[in-house]
Amino acid sequence: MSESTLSRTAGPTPNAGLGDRLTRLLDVALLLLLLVVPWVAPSFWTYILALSLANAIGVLSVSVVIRYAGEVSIGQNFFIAVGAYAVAILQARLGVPFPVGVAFGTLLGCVMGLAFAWPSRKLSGVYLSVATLALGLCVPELLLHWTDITGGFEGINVKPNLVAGVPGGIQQFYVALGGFAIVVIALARFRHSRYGIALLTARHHAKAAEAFGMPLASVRLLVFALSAGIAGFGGSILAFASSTVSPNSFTFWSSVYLLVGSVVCLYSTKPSAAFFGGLFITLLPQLLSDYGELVEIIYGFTLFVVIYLFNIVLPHLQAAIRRKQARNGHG
Amino acid sequence: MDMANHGAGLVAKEIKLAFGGLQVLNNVSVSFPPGVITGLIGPNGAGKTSFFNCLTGLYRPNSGDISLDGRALKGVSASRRARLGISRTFQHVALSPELSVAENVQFGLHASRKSGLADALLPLPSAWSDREESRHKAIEALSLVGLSHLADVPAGGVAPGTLRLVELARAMVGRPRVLLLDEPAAGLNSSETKDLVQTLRQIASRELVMVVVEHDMDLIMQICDVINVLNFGTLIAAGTPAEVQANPLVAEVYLGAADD
Ligand SMILES: Nc1ncnc2c1ncn2[C@@H]1O[C@H](COP(=O)(O)OP(=O)(O)OP(=O)(O)O)[C@@H](O)[C@H]1O
Ligand SMILES: [Mg+2]
Repeated sequence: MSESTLSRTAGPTPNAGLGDRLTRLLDVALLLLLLVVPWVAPSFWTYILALSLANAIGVLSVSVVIRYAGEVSIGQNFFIAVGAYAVAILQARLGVPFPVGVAFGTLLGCVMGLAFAWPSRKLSGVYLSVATLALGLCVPELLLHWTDITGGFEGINVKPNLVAGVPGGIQQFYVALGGFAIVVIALARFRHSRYGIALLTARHHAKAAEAFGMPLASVRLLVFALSAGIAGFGGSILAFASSTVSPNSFTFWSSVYLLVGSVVCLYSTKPSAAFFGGLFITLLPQLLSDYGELVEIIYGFTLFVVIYLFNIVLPHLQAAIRRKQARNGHG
Repeated sequence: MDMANHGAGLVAKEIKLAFGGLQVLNNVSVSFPPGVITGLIGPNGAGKTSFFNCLTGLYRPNSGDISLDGRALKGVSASRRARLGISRTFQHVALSPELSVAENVQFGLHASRKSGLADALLPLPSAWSDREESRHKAIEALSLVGLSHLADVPAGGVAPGTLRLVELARAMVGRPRVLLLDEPAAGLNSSETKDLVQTLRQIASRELVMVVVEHDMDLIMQICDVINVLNFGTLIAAGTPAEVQANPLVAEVYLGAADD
């Protein structure tokens, strides 16, 4: 191609590489910091951070749907409950060890995701969200219906018995950290896989994706299998990290909180951002436990601020900066 | 042309397509043999893009048959047709701004890549070789359009004219049997168009079925061996560039209109 073409082509922004390197540095620093938490922090904080990591996995399961399909799921509590109860029931009723429970919970989450996505594969936008809402709303009722296996309102205790002799709190923390690491690494790989590429094309041009071998139905099935698998996995980890499962922890509202977590980290699948999302929705209710409904108000306010900031204020600023640069460039 | 050795190419017979009361394609029969660059021209709204959509399986014609090398394509989905080697570009650039230029081109290999979901999520050695290979092919295809230096730039930051060439690279990267180009020169300046003509000549081969929809008459007359003219969904003329240019009917509905 001629030189004139090249000079008009916008190259990579000069600081893109620097930004990438900075986030990677942040990710590594975060990991190192988290690794020593159980040895330096009081056990209460170790517990809170373990829950944050488990919730961050749930946040990632929401972000995956938003990033890769441009859709919103508010039924993630269903898949998380599937994973959590799989671990709890297998351990309490059959004495199945935790790793097997996690594998089963993840697989079952995946299968449930596919079972949901197949009938709704042609739905988009509000209609799809409403379908996920239906899924989310039925969880407590289902759990209270099969009281014999689910333990009803009381739920089931999950013993941290992965490694004999190691204190439960430490096991819980490292299982949560390990689970979180597995998910972020898998998602980083997924982004550059042929499916990651296909999904990010389909998100912008569904017809082009179809013409090259990725029809919308496959997009829906893949995204929901992935998201529900992550949610099932996250639920399994959450059950272990919180040492209990009960219907109260898996109401429709927990899906809304996960959505809040996803929004505050801008739907990112990067480690630091997702961790922040998980931390935000875990910590805030703890810090404000004496103030009751203030938590919901803050959630609502934060959502508004983040969405307003990133969809209206920032684009405005960027456009203004670009106009200014263009003027300077010509002047 | 040694057609026996290279199959019949892409053949459309009596294609009819209507949207509500609007008859978009009316009994269109054309064959696109391999080794020939076929032009498809016609005024705005003539049905050229819709015809491409029928060929690629994005639209289902109300009646008529399409076959590739004798294999009937009725009921074959767009994705399966991609696997059979039918590839295309779009009139309006249809790339993902979130992906790098090379990744956009790699998507052209999606239908032929075998790596599964396990490869996508887990660090398996087989996944590495598949990724390396597909990136290598993408950069090769980008070199063909002179853009290999943009491989790692996000497509969102690339000029629209350049993106058309990226789309061309995506359509070619899988070494398709059929290449359908919908206005490849739209938005290109004259030097870019000249380069495009050269690239298209370079990729034309005895096995490749190439169809070009284009409003740039110079380009069409330069590169096409055969030209078909569509007007209001009806094929009104077909022949060599000289024949089509000399056809009074064509001059009336199309070339004449362009002179106004
Ligand atoms: N999905 C659709 N639904 C309804 N009408 C459609 C659809 N696709 C195409 N049409 C109509 O079919 C007719 C032909 O459109 P088409 O895009 O195929 O024309 P074209 O020859 O490609 O024109 P142009 O040169 O402007 O690209 C137009 O009247 C258009 O409005
Ligand atoms: Mg068109």
